[in-house]
Amino acid sequence: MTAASDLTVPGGTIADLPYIDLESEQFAATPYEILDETRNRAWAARTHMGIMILSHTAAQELYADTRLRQPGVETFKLQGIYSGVAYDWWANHMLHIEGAEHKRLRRLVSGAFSAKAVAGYLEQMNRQVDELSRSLPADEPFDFVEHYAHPLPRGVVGSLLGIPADEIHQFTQWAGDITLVGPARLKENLPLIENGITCMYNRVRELIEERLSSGELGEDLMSNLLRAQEGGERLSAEEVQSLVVLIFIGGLDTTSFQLSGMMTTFLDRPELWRRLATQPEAAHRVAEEMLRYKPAIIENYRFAPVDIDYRGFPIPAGTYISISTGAANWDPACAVDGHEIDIDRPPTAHITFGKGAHFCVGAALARAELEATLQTLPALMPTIRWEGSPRYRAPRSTTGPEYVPMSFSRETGGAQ
Amino acid sequence: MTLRIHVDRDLCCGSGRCWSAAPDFFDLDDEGIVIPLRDHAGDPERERLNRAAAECPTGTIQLEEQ
Repeated sequence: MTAASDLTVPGGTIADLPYIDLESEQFAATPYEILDETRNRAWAARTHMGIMILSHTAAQELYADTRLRQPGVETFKLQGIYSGVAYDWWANHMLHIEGAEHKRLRRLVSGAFSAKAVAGYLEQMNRQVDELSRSLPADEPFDFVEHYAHPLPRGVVGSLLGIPADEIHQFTQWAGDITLVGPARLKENLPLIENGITCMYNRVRELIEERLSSGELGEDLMSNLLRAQEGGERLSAEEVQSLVVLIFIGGLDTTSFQLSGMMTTFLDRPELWRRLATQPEAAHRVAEEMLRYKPAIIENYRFAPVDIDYRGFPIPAGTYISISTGAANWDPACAVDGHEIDIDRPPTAHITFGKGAHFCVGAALARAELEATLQTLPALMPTIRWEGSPRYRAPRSTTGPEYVPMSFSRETGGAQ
Repeated sequence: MTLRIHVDRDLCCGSGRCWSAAPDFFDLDDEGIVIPLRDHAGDPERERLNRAAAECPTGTIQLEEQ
């Protein structure tokens, strides 16, 4: 942890902070660079939404600051929505609950996602990685997102939850609609979002009924939640459905953007990919550096429900706070020369998975997927090249490449 | 110099970073919650323990110089 004296918060107010135009073309093209450059000037920035925390020390402290809240249904209320299926799900799922209630829900699922449990899934995950990578077409252009970055995470989280393999496609479509719940697209997409939630709830309820009536519980998370209920845990049917929806969605875009973002980095630096082909044991370390360097969760939101004094700096009640993972991870306090990829870099305290009680419950699973990918793909496809220009989602919240046109050859093509 | 290791299981969110960094010092129960195995360490183990403490998302692990 950095010492308290590493961060000096100068006097002043939000008005004195440098402004970042999050909707500019320049920001869309080079978000991490702009965040890095602004952080060299100030610990935080001003945006059209509120304040954005750039310093690694401040980010860690504010993540753990229990005076702050998730924005939760504030976004809904701002758009005149005070009830309904989407409102209820958003208000009551685990990410938006605090204290003892949050802990109760979290502990019901944390076992299935613990680093030790994930170590137990590795064999199956490696099979999924192997199958997918062998299905990629050699010596012809293809989209890495469509053929690998999307299918791997949904297969992994789907089987962990206990969703039948032939239903994962349908669940993914519902999930795509539900994730329209972000602030920018909420109101106009409310019917789609609510339909997605209702359909997923209904199907999860049916899958639970099937388990209960057959009496056959497996090793999947849905079965474990039912066992917990039987064992006397206070866990309602709504809570089970809500957890399944949250976890399925949580394991999709985040991981697929991290995978596709990683691939664009390697396509720009194919010599690093070739090194991995000869050093699969470096996969763990390289995956970690990729998480630090290009976090798919580029920012995370908080909200000040009351006036907050942060190290003498006033944050008024009602302020939206973005905690910039992108800026904090490149902070020298986190990583020396953080703007550079260093695949030999020792572990850092990056905040890609957050901090505090809501630290990403799927972190070990995500890490395993990235590591398994980096252990397997480079040796199978040692020579990679671009076959066009990538297309990126806007650099807000969860972001990354949505289209990665590439090709590979199984030849090493020259000196190794 | 020895390091005294303090673990507050109540704060633990089950990330398992401590187990990854130092499985000889930290185990995980069925809920993924930390089980401390040792309450002190020597100099050669300092780096791994500092990493376990730094990467713990909730400050569950506190190290005290003795």
